Amino acid sequence: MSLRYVTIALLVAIGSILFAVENVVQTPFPWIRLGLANIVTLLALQWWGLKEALLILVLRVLLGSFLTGKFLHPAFVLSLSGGIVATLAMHVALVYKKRIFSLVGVSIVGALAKNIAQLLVAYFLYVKQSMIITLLPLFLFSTLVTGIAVGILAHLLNQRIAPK
Amino acid sequence: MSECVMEKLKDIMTKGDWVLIAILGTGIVLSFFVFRWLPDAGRSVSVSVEGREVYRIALSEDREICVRGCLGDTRIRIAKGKVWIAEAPCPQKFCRKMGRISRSGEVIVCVPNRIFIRVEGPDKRSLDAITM
Repeated sequence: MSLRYVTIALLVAIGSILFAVENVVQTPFPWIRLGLANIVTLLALQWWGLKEALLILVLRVLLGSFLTGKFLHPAFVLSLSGGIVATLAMHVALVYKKRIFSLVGVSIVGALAKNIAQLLVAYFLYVKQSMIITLLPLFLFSTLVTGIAVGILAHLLNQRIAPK
Repeated sequence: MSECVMEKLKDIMTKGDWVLIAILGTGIVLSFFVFRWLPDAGRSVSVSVEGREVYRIALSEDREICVRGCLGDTRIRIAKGKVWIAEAPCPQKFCRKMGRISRSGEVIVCVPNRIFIRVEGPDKRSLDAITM
């Protein structure tokens, strides 16, 4: 049990750092991110379950926002809401009829849920404008690419460091 | 090398993954087409020199205009629904570096030459940027 707590703490730390590092790395479009921190959520879901994954998510978004100085900033609200929706969606994708999706598929589902949730939250809270929907194709495309990449990374990590 | 990667991917991914990717891929291609067909709202370009508007041109029109500011002539080009400064007499050419604008509300300013370009249209408050 205490080993689990230590592992959870480690995942929170890794997730926050990935989140902060990603804030520094430049991408061609500022709103497209790799979502590396999602690896942590994927692993937690795979190893334990929804409760632990949500705990890690909330802690890492909090810590990450302290690191980047964006606590209670719109970016923080978007991260948190998108992350929670993504975690729930990934939980469903992972548990529902086991083995329909590998971690790659689950990761894509998560990235998709996160992007859609963030678009909706951004629309209702910040930019009440239908124009934001025109970003959808771009979002979907980035979702596919980053979802696959993150899923493969999570799979490789899971093979190597899964706790007994 | 790439064959090796593909082999590994086949090991990792399930049928469900491929179906998901196929569906998403089709969705993306379709949505690109759908958004292509959305009507291009009638936007126009307003060019002002020292606060006075000297030109108002539809953004859909391809043309080049020459505007005299207090330093000299600035050449402004409109093509393919975008406006940009092609040539400017100002020393640092910041206005040229501001690039091509197309959405309503976007502006290009040349302070030394007192030139102000603004795209205007129905969707007055369009997005400047999105960050997460």
